Amino acid sequence: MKTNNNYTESDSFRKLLKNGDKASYETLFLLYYDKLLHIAKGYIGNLEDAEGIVQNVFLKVWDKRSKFDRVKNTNNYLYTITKNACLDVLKHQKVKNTFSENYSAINEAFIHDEIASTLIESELEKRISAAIELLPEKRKNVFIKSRIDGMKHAEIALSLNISIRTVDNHISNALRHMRLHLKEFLTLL
Amino acid sequence: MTQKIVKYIQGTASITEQKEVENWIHASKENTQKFHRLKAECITASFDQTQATTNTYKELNTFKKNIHQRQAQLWKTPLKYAALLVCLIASSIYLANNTNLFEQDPVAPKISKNSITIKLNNGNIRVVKENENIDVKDSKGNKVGVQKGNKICYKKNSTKQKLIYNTLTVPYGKQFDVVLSDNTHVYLNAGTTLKYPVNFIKGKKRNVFLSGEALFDVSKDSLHPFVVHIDDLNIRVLGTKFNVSAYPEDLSAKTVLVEGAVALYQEKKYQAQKATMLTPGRLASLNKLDKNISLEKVDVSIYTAWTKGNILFRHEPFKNILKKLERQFDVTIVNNNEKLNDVLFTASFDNESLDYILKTFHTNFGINYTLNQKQITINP
Repeated sequence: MKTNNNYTESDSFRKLLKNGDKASYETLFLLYYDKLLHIAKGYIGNLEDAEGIVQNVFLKVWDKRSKFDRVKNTNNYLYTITKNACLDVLKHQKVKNTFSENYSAINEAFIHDEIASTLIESELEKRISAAIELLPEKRKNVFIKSRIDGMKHAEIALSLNISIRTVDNHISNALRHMRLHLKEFLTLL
Repeated sequence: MTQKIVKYIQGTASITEQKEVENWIHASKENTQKFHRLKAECITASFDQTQATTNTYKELNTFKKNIHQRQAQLWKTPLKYAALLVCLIASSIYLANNTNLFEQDPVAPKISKNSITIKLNNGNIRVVKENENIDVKDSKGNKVGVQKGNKICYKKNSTKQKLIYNTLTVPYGKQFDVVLSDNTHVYLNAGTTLKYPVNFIKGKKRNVFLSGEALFDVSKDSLHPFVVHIDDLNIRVLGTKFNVSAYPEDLSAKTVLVEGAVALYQEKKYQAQKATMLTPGRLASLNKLDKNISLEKVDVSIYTAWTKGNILFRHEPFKNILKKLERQFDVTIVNNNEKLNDVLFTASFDNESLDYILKTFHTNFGINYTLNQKQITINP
């Protein structure tokens, strides 16, 4: 799949993830959690199971962090793990409960539909890019230097000639803003 | 039909509607594909709904806790054995020092580990209250010295003919001074234990036993060599000033000579030709693993700064700095930024609080931390 995201797909970010850098896992989680939750909820049809699935997706990514350099596309990687985790749950549901057998089978077929998958995966990608791209210029700049390029706060402060406190503020605001609904976000500008 | 399918996708269809839609999906390949397309569109169009109703920060905390647990599990196994080892060492020392096992120590269980204590030769433990001015007595109630605030001075008593050992223990976060009966001044750093005779005996070597860090200012007495025993190493002097750092958890034991001369030897008996001689301004490090002693020229003031309340780091690896701060301030520091461990830092602090030191590391080196009472976490 072609990607237009230069942030979470950058080598520097993947290197941070590979090294188990906790801040980059926080970034990944804040960017992806609700979106993967939305997809998982759509795939298996209930929120509670979806929450468990997505927490496990992140734990799995954490456990396999040493192999992150072999990941070619972060977005595709997270999406695929989520999809497979949903399939596992559906198979289990089928065994457990014959009543929902039909429902699970329909969901399973849907997950396997390639055109539908491509649609969902590219929408996910677009939303991740937008979350970073739509940050105010300075905030975005500081955020990328810190969370994507892995620069230390002191280094960023020095390179942009601002105080470390300002760097801290930019990053915490950026993380918060990524979380807001796009509409709310635009009214804040 | 489309309306019913959307209801089905959203989970708001009635049971009859559900059956109807399911039958329609299974009716043909085209229907199934159409359903898939519709469902994909529904999902891509409603991301914002889930986002609006999700508390991502709460979930992030769950994730962080899960990661923390994973790491804790990895740590558990070696820690268990470490604890066992400590117990074994502790109990063997206890057995060695208590010939009569039935003579139980009645005071021991009540003593807080934050107190400075003296263990007498009969096993009784006395708490030393800081800033108190009182007489120091032996197990029989005879006066052997005086305590003046943070210092205990033993008096010379030449009539005694038997070695009676006391053990002074200084916990983390405290320092203490002791002047032995020969007028040798020992400054004890945090987390240190010194075993010494209440009175040195004429014609015998002056033996003391150290675990931790101390600065010795040994009174000159060429007839009675003064020997500091640490694990695997003996430091023999006639009269001199030197600092010994021999914490059990450190990988090396360090001796720095301020003035005079000392001889280091690893054998039981001192043999001049086998000993390593240390000259002023030099540091001898005993590598605990290969038992090799290496010498290097150092700035002595760095190694004795602690006696003046100063904390100095000169090209010190971050992990050593954390260990020093733990001892100095009696805190636990968890480092979640492992790549910092071997990074070297240089910094000087004159009688500063832990808070100030942490803030300095934050402002100057961008090191983030959270302080929670006695627990500090270095964040990545």
